[in-house]
Parts: sequence; structure tokens; C-alpha cells
Amino acid sequence: MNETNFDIDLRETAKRVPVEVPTIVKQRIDEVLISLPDSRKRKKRAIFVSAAVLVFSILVVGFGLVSPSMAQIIKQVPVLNSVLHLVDSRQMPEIREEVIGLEKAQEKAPFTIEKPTFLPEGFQEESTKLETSTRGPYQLNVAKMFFKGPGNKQLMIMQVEDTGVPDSLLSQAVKTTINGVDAWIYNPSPQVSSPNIQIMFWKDGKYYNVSGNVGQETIIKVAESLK
Amino acid sequence: MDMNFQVQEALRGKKEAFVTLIKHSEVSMYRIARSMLHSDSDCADAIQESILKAYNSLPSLREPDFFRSWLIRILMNECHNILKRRKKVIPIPITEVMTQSVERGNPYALIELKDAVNSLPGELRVIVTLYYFEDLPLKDISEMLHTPVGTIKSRLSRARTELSQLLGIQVKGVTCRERN
Repeated sequence: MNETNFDIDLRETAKRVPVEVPTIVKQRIDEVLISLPDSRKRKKRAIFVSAAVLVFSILVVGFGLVSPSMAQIIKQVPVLNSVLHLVDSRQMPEIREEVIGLEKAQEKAPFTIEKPTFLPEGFQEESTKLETSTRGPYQLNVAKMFFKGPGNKQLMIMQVEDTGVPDSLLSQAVKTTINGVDAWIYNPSPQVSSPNIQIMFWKDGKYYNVSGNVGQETIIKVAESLK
Repeated sequence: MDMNFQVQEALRGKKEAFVTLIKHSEVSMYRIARSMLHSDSDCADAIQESILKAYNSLPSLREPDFFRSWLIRILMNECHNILKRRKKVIPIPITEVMTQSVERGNPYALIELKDAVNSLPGELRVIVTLYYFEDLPLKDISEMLHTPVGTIKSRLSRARTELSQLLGIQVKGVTCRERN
């Protein structure tokens, strides 16, 4: 075989290598696509940020500072989504830092990162990280714990220093209770077989978001084990 | 699918066309992100952010034909941002990503190729993914990686040599056909 054939064969073989996009990645792609505004004209309006919006609350502005994945989760709630579009990133450039590993994350986090005492069978901790976002005078710390289970099943537990419960804004979520506090269950893709269900609740000055493709009952059990 | 038509529609502000384009590019986006990043959650972060940036900056796309390489460039920038935050490069277990499929008797058995690509150093792995798997021209790869075409060519040559050795194929004086 000469070198030209090697090159051609390599390319042809490469094209036949099958790639399976994991369910969790597909779901997150679908979620971001669903959340896109219908028209890009909305972005132009977003430039005109009013002082009133900027002081709307540290909670809402804080949501605009977090990682793409968290912002996306929050964006799935329609009213918060519209507020997020009003945050003008060009006025306040964002600085992000990230530390990896539970121990280091806990050292830096201004709150205790709760670990779940219940995990579905076969699940193991994959990684933990703390993302610190600073934009102007605002800073937000987001702890994320990732767990992986058999068959592409995944769980993420997010904990954010936060107060205030925008319960009137969670119109598309179903209200329930977790360990005596109000919580909201949201299924962004009820039409798919293993949707990435999430449960949100606020407790002791912290916002918790537990999400994964493990079914609603399991998500609730994991959330309840965060004590 | 008529990519050019969908890009034109997306440029006119039709969200559905943009969604179609992204769904069509889903596998490529994942494959490229996975060649650079360690975990699926990082890949999902990079892809999500890329989709948002691409949607918001669509008006800056002057030529519909360049949509694919433009999208990949945005994605690679996001992957680089994640790597910068990590400040380290982690070996990528591509074998975990791709479904196993062995073609016996074929010297380029798919599983062997996956393992071989997986074992390349990061800088070569990304170029091999873009050149062989995504079929992108050298000029585009050069722009995406902010690296001269000559450097890309020499890395590609190194990658081919290493791949040929890993695959147990005798290749003498590898210079290989290259698309510019």
C-alpha cells in the first residue's frame, strides 16, 4: 500500500467509525435549543439595560453569572429567562475561576457542600467542582457534583449560595416539598423516554438543583438525602 | 439536507432552521469536543455555550458556505476556554466515547483506529479529528487552531507516521495527499 492509499483509507475508515452522542449531552443540546428566543431581535433589546433591572435583585443578576449549564437550567423557567436576557455582559465582563475536587472546592466555598447520603445503585461520584464567577461587584459560587451510573445515567447536584425563593416565577414546574421546604420539579422534555428531570429548592440560604436522567422518584430521593 | 438553504433561513431569523443545522451537526460537535475535553459534562457545557454564541452572532456570518467551519471554530474556542480554566490537559478516553465495532480481517479495523487516535498526543489528536473525521481543509484547521498551515502539515505528517506504526502498517516516506 502506498502512502496515498494509506491517507485515503484512513479518511474513509474514520468516516465509518460510529459515534454515539450520550443521552445526557443530547438532552442538554435539546434543552438549549428549546430555550433559544424565537427571534434574535430580542438580543438587541437586551442592550438597553436599565438601572432598575440591574438592581432587580442579587438573585436574578446572580443567575446571569453562572456557568452555561446552570444558566441553561434557569433559562428553562420562562420568566427568569426573560430577565436573563436583560443582563448586558459587555458592561460587566465576567471572570470565572474553577477548582476541581471536593476537598479543594470545600476549602474555597463560602458554604458547606452537602453530599447526598442516597445514590441510585451503581452510581459513583465522577467529579466535583466549584465555579466562582465575578462580574463587577457581584460574585457567585456554584458547587457542582457529578455522578455517573450504568447505562449512560447521570446525576448532577448543584449548590449555590442564595436566598429568596422566586416561587411566583416557577410557573412551569410542579410544586412539591423536600424535607419540609417547598421544591419545584421541572421536566423540560416530557416527550423523551429518559428526560433530564430537575428538582429545585431553597434551604438555609442555599439554592439546590438536583438533575439527572434517572426518573423523578429517584431524583426526589437524592434531593431528600441532602440534609 | 440542503445546508446552504437552512443557513440562509437561519440568517433570516428562523429559529427552526438554526435548530435543524445544530441537530445535523450534533455528532461532529460532540466528536470534536470529546477530542479536546475530558468529560461529557464539559462537552455539554462547551456545546451549549457554543450554540448560544452561534445563535446570537449569526448575523456576523457573511458567507453561508462557511457555517460549518464557523460553528466548529466557536466550539473549539469554548473548549479552549474550559481547558484554560482547568489549566491542564487531560488524556481523552475516546474508546469510551465511541461504540465498539470490530471489523475482523481489515487492517484498519475501526476499533484499532479509535485506539490509535486515542493514543496520539493531544495536539495531534485534534488535528486528526478535524482532518480525517470532519474532513476539513488544512486552511480551515490552521485558522481554527491559530497555527500556520506548515505547522499543521508537519503535525499531520507526524500523526500519520505514528498512526501507521500503531496500526502496524509500513509507510515509507509519508508525504500523503493533502487538501488545501
